[in-house]
Amino acid sequence: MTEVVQQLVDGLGRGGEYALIALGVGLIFGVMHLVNFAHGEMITVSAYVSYGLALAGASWWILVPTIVLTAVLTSVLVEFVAFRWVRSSSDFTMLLTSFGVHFVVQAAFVMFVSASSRHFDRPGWITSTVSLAGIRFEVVDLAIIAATSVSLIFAVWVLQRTVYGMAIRAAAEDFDTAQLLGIRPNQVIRAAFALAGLLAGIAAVFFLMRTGRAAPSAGLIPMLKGVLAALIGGLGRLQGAVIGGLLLGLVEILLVSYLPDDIDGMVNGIIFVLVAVLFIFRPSGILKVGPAQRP
Amino acid sequence: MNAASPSQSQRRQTRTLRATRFNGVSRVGRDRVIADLVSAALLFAAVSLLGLGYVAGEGAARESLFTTLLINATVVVGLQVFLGNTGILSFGHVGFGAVAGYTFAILAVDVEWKQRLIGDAPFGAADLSVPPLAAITAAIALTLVVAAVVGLGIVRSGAARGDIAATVITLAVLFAAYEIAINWTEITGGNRAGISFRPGTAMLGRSYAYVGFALALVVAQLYRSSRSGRLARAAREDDLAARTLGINPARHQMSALLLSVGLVALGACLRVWLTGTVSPERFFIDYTLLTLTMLVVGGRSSVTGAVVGSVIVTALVEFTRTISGPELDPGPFDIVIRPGLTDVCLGLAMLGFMILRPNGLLHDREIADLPILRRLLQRDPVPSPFHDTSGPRATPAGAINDNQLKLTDMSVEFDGLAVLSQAHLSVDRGRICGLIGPNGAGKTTMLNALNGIVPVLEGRAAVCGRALDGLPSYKRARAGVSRTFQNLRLFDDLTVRENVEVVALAHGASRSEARQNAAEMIELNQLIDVALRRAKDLDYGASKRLELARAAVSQPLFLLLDEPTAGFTEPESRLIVQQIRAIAERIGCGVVVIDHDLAFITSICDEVYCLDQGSVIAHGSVSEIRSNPVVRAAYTGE
Repeated sequence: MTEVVQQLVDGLGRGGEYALIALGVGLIFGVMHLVNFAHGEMITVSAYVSYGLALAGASWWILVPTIVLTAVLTSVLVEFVAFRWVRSSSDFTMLLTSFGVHFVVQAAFVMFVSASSRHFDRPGWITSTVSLAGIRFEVVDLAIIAATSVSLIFAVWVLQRTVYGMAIRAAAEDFDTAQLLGIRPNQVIRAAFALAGLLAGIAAVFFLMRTGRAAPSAGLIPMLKGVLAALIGGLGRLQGAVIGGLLLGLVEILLVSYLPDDIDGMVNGIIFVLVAVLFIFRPSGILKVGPAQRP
Repeated sequence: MNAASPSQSQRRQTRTLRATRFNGVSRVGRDRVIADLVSAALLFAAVSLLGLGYVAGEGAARESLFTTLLINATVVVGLQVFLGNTGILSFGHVGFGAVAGYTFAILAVDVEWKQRLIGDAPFGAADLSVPPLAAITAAIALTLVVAAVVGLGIVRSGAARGDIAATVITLAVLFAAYEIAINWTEITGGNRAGISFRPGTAMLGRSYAYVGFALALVVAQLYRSSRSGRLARAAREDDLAARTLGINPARHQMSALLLSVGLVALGACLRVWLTGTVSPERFFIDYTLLTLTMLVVGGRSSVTGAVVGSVIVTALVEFTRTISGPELDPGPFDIVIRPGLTDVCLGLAMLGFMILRPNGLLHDREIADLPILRRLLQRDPVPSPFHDTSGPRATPAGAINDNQLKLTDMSVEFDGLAVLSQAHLSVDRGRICGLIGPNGAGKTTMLNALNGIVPVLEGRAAVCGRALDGLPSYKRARAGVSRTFQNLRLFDDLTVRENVEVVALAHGASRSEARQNAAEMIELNQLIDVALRRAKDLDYGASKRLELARAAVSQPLFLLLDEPTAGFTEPESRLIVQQIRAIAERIGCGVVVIDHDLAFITSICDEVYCLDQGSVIAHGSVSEIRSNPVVRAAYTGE
């Protein structure tokens, strides 16, 4: 029983990170029909900024807001440099554009820093645990669950109650019509990228606290997990992204705990295959399949 | 008796159709094969000459670079077969390459050497060694089996909804192959060591690389202009339209995938053989980036483009590698000239081409499209006016019990909202039937239900006595129901003639028949002047006429037209009336036409159904409908 609860919390903590990334992926898919494979670059860039600051002796009190801010700026910048120009292109073009961004950023860090990873100190409390009702929890898991809940509530509030949020949702529903009705596409898309960057930034904070590592491909795996989570929940459904993220986190923790040791290193591959099998039976994710599009 | 005879007569008709089709290779078909082979030969000659010139007397380093180019080009041409024809982005081909490369190495490395590397390998692999060519064959065969299984998933999700789920499945292949290669150390040698050949037993000479490259070119060129390749490209442009016009995208995507993976596997084996080693990193993201960049730089829709891209990117990589090598002093440029420069350039090339020239340097142009070669090979001659004096065509293949299109008790719900409830329709062949009603009445949904592109709650549909229920869309189309769409759904990147021809091909016409029937429909719809233009470059009127031509070329028993006059002026509408009449008469079909323009409906229809809120509220001749008070109430709210 104890073990189950611990793993549940562990899985929710991990899943919360994925949910934050997946929500951003879903938002961007909503406004411009792009599955953003460069969504992890916010984490990569933040990681190097943290590394630089940590070298200069900055504490995590400074790092946390910097990471979030860096992620937001990176997200908006990438939209401005790359995605703006392929906005109405085919899926193929947009997918490869985002992959191009990923490779350029990754290779740039190889070029200007190093191919090997850089490490910085993790906060002291990261490995500490607390005991609640006789069950030991890692503090970081609880912190992630709290932060994720707050961020998700914030994101929902922004989307439901603010003018920008409504514009984003309107544009996600029908971009052309929204544009005709006076919603400015550049601003809406920028807002969506900023919000997605913010959510990814919060995920990045915990990711970097856990790993304390900056590497050229640091963002790759979290990004892929976020994309998978968004797809599992059904792309473009925001609540689906959250459910997909949590589910993915739980499955991952279960696999890590119960897989035999000799294939322990294949968790990511196994997750990929599981999701691929899921798509064979439910190409549009686990949530209820909506009506077929009107031709 | 009635139960047995239709299938018998159907079979007989299919047989005669086949007999005419195989009665000697048609001229169009033979010319095509010759043109494809010439194309492949020219490309092969061009690259070989380039290589010979580059290598001549300059030593082993250049020779090895050129051999690498040949092998990479083999892989890229293999990628082109799938990505170019189906339009599905795949990251998994390099993963398939890993399967092939490892299988090849495990089989081909000699026993004594293998005992040192992977002595504990399961399945007795450590005690087995076969000649390289046999190992390549086995590796390709095994990879194809894997690809067929994965392909089931890819075509299912690719056909059902966008390409993104399919792309994620291909990513799964890449990651799964990589992690298996790292973790299954008993047979793969793990992350660090991998499997290497005994020094001196790797590939010597370039001949196999040449053979692989030539094979890839021939296969890719032949597939490109094959029936399957053309139908795959039509489905690439518009999956839904393709299915409602009789094309089964899944089948052609699968064919493309298997051919493509076969070539990539071949290239991967050669790559392992040439370098004498295989390790997880060699078939992972870096090689994916390299090969995809090669493909998109040249143009993914063209075999020539794949080759050109391979050459250009190889030159670029070699250049950046040379200037950022350790032996050179970069001087003041040391800010950019350093390790990692190659990958940045590759990434920028991919990004730059996607933003500025997403179709690559060549788009879909092939070497045989050069004007001089086009004349020599008589490829795609400009269509001439078609003169046919024969009357209406004979009944197309199919079991004919009656002459009716029949819909009974059809109900459709979207999210619990009834869009169509117990609707019915029956139209005789040779008659033109209008379908009117206010917006949201369920008119288009009725056609969609008939096409099988919306899930039906209950109800039956049959055409000439043949039940359509439960059939996939493309089979319904082949049973004799063809349609146009309210908002245009053309195969945008194909030419007008290709748009029409592929549909004829999908319905089993031979190449020359398809060309002839297409020419006829193109003329009938006044599209001759634009026949070689891409569909996306047409004006609105021509686009509408092209949809009509495309739907009619399959000689359906019934033609379903969704708002053929939407956006037309009155004179244009009158022209459309004549055209629809002429087509219906020529192919002897029935027509169901949805429109809001009552003047148009009145002028063309023999009978009219009126729908409101998902139900048929009136049915009768034009004059009956006009005077029907219920119809008036529904339309004007009186």
